[in-house]
Amino acid sequence: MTDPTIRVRLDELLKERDMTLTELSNRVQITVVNLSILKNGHARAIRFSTLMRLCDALDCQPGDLLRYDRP
Amino acid sequence: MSTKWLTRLQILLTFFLIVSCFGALSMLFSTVVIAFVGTTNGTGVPLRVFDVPITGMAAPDAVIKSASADVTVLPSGPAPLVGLLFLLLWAPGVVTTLLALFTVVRALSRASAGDRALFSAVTAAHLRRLGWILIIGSLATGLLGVVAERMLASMLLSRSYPFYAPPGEVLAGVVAGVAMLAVSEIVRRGLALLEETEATI
Repeated sequence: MTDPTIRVRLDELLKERDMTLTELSNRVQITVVNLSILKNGHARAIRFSTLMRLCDALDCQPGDLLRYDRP
Repeated sequence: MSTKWLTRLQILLTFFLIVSCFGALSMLFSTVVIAFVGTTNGTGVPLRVFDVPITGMAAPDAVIKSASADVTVLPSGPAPLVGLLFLLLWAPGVVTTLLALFTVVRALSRASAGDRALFSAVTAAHLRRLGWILIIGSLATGLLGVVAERMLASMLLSRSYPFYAPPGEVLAGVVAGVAMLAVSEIVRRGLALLEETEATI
């Protein structure tokens, strides 16, 4: 049985906006490595400042970025 | 951060470790000589003597209440049992010291790889091991020392006592061991906090 997780929907949002991870990295000034960690669900926590920059660059709400996955 | 002084400390402790190994070998050699050859003017068995005559030793306005002395007893001829008891008297302490030094040197050897390598789960494990080495080694040293000294005194001295209190180093070793376990736990919890921070994007 897998644990419930918070998933960062970066993949979907990037696809919808036809944007690459490198482009997003340049816009939000977060390294591609750290964005990959977020995208792949390996991050333990996310700062409000990071969330704000991502929402700003992707023109979305925090709720659009995060999703709670039940097992 | 600069790890120069840690590297120097590691070199110094490595030197101490090598010297201690030679010291242990010389003690082992002395024990073998006592057991199988016999010494007439070489290394003897160190023992504590109480109720030493003190007449005339005190100043006119002072009184000596009790006195003890360290004596070195040389058994005449080969004495295998004395050799074995002498081994039990010194070996646990020496082995504990060597293992503790070796563990510290191993822990410090990670300093050259950087701070993150030093402040790691491996170092926490080394510190925990060091703690248990000090606690178990000190207790074994005290216990075996008390038994061995009691038996050696009854064999080599005309007057012996039922109980020889272990030296203060035993308690100091146990306290140092407990302190090492505490430091290990602090490092472990600090690492958990650091990993939490590092995994925050």
